[in-house]
Amino acid sequence: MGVINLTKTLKGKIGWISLSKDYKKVIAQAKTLKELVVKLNKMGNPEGHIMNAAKDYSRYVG
Amino acid sequence: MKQDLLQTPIKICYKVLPGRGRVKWPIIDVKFTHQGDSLPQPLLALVDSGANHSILHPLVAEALGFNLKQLGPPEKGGLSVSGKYESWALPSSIDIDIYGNKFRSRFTVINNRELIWPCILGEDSIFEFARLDFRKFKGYFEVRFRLDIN
Repeated sequence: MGVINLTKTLKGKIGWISLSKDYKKVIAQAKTLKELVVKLNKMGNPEGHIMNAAKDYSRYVG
Repeated sequence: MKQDLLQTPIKICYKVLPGRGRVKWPIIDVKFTHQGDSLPQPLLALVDSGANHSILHPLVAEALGFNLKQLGPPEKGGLSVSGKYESWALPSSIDIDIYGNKFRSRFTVINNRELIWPCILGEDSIFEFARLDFRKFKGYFEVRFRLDIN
């Protein structure tokens, strides 16, 4: 069971995005979550995952 | 000592996100519903054993029907590794669904729209509902949901 690497899929992406179920492509993206939800509704709410895309997560310390 | 009543484990792969050092993050899918409002897809939420509160991004809270302005000014005095923060404690619980396992949880909203995580599940949510075994060196972690609740 391997790690899922999202770096290629998320390259250059900033803001709210919807990833496909298999994490391999970006289905939709928007500046705000509200806009993303509207886009997904128009697309018939395909299966996927919502996340907030950032340039660099590595500096985060929880 | 009584043995814990737990489901069979669900294995979840760590995910690598953009940034230096190929950091592997423990991230899970969480569906949110609050009084009829929900998001069309699950959110990718960070599992953080170092967080004593579970956190929601302000835009997620608003999408779930919370009017943050109506809650008044955010409370000052929060402390994190990055310094002080302001937050709201949401007045009602949120229904969460993690891989078909349903729970209710309280969330804190950090007053920072630049927050990179839509949701952080801390000690007061997923760690109350499940046993987690982190096997970072193997690239996965296991979640065993409790059978003695719900």
